[in-house]
Amino acid sequence: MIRKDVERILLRVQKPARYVGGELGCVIKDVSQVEVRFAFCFPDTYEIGMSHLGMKILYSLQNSLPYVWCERVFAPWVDMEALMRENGIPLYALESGDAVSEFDIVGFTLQYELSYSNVLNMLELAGIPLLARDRTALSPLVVVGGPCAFNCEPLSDFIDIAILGEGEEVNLKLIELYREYKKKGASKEEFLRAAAHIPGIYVPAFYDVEYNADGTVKSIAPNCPDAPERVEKVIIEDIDRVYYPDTFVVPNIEVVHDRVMLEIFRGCIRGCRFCQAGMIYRPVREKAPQTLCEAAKKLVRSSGYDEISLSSLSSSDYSRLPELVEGLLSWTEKEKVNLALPSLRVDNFSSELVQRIQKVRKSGLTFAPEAGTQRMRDVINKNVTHEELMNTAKTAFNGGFSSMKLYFMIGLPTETMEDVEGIASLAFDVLRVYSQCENRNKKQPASVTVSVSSFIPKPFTPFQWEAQNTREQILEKQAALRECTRSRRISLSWHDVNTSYLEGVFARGDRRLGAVLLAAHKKGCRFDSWEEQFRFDAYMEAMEECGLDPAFYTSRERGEDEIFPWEHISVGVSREFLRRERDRAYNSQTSPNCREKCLGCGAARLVGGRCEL
Amino acid sequence: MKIRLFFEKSDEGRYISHLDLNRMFMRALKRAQIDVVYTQGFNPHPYLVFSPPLSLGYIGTREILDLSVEPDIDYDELVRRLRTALPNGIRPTDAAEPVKKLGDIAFARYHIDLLMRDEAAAGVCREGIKKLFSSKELVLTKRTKRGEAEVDVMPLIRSMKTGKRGNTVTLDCVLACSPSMSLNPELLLTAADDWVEGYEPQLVTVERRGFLDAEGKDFA
Repeated sequence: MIRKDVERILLRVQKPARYVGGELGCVIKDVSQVEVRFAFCFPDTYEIGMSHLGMKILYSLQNSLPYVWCERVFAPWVDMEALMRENGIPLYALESGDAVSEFDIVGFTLQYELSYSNVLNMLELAGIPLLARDRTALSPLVVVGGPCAFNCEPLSDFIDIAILGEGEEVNLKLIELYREYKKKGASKEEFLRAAAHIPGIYVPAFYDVEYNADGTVKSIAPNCPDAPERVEKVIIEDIDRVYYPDTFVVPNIEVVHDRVMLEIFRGCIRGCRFCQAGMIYRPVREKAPQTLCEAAKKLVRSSGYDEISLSSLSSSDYSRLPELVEGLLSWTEKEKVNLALPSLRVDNFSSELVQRIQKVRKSGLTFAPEAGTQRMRDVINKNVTHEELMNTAKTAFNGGFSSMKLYFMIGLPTETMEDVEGIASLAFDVLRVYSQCENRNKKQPASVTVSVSSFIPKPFTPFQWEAQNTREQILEKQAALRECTRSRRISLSWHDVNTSYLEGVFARGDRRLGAVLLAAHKKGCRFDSWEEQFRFDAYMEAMEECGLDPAFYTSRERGEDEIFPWEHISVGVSREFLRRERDRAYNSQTSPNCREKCLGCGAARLVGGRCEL
Repeated sequence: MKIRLFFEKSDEGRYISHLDLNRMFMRALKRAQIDVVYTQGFNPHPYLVFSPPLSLGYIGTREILDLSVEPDIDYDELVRRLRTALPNGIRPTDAAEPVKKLGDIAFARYHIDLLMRDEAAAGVCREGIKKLFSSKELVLTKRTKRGEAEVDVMPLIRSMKTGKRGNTVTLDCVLACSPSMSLNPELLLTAADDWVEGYEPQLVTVERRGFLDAEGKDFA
């Protein structure tokens, strides 16, 4: 439904198709027939939000309930926002065109810290009071989920509920409870108290946080008898039977991931010590190849997409990959459907796999050695050797590829300049391997893209205690790297230091940062992850006004027994395990993956004590 | 078998660019399980040819897509299947064997609605537009790939009729629409904005209502 007031401004904005809805597969219901209206908000542009698998799953799932209507909402780009404000158009949902303020539940997915300002801005555009305490009625209820919900303390002033973990079951429980409480005319307080009993539901207002004089957390305690001491995330135990949509909303305009996405497993067997996803999504649970093939076929048929990508944290670790690829290729080749395998690891990448995936169409290859030297890779537990990397390159080049993209991080704990320079030598080694490959594409010179991000310590990882490199340290390392990668065959890209710095602040942030977010919002901050919109200075001013020092959150090493702002949250992995892994990192000791040996991280408790590997 | 499909582009479909439209039809054909002939080459893709691109936001009531299918399919069956495979705003109406080549399109027929503040404003605006386009020569600055060019647009206007319906000024015109000579109605509206006193429409709706050949006959 295109609103009349929107239609009048649409031709004055870029990409108006972002704002009209009506795509194939979108769900339209009769408002008079539904009891709970859910606005699923993605705090970034349409193209980014529509690429997000979690949103597709929960959209279809929630709409499968006859009494719920779940609609999509994205952050309007700045040109549209300006016109909406000028014309008094509130933030609206794409399906009905109705204002978001009319919804029962307004849910935001938190995929990255730098989208927090968009959450505030979207609430404001919707005309919804930003502060949770100013919203006294039961609706609209503001909830958040997604990876950043595990430490959503910086947003705790603004949200009513955080959903911790996988949403397929808990979201439905929450919606059902809401329906019941709405029917009986309960108050917000009554509802929140009941909701706090649902596993995975965290109500920030039910906890009091006290601070020490030095700014660290002194204690976190429930102030309400209904709130548990500790909220543990929820997961889907039987992932093979979990709901998976057989239709996607197919965008009318090109989005970032414009294809069928097939989630093959959750969790990760690797224990890379920097990786938050590898810890918070534990334990590993795989879907069966038959389940996946059927789901893929249905989705291709209903969407018309000509590409399937396998989605997981490390797709080549899928234990039945040959069977799955075989099963998919048995019909995708006939139907001219391309198969893409992102996030491959270098250590189990076979020549057979290379040939199979490029049968239909050739695309680029991407690997993530993450660090330039063996010592550094051992520290972060990226169990990949130099030899394996070179063999992978050889396999790929002999298989017809001529370019390779390599991902690295700088600013890792214990890192020296030698480790940084190791990134360059590794890139040159890859180029050397190319020139030695017999079956390389001789018409095409090799090219290596080196993408270097800055390490940001994240909660619930073995590096959660670490000091993040200062901006000066990062700049120095970036400059050094630039010096030693001078080659026409190597293109180097890196992350903006200020962006990483701010991400570091919020990643391990506490509740006091709510004031900073509010101040930054008032200064007009939004779309912080978009370089041209990012206003670092405004954030630094906001921090100063609130009397907070960014370095306290970033470049301060935490004491061994320091209480973290997220201490009352559990992702299943124990603090002791993370501590042990940190000690091993300092000894450059690697750890075996989950299939080799169980390290007793604690996540097995979530699946009845034993992981299915 | 070669097929000419006629379709409407309206509502949400108005905001789909030409490139996205192409991708959308590729997906729709796949969804409808219509086997199209693919191009030969490194990156095989369905061989689809559209009538000249419609500007973003314009409505099209008789847009054209030429395609080849194998095996043969009944025209109505093709239309029926594609209808369910396309989103709101893109609606196939009928299909037939192509008579002329798409390259023989010479003109396009447009209907434009300009919603004015009130009836009086509409009357003034209509007179202004009528006068503007009754001149012998009207040189406008046209933006092309090679930069700006001064063009006399009058020879590119085959016909133009103005009208008034309540608060709305209507324009029915037939404009050149061939690879060598074409005139986008946007240029006429820009001219009206520059030269016509009281041109302050609150909503502009442009509808392309089909194509004509060099003799001015309806294109089929």
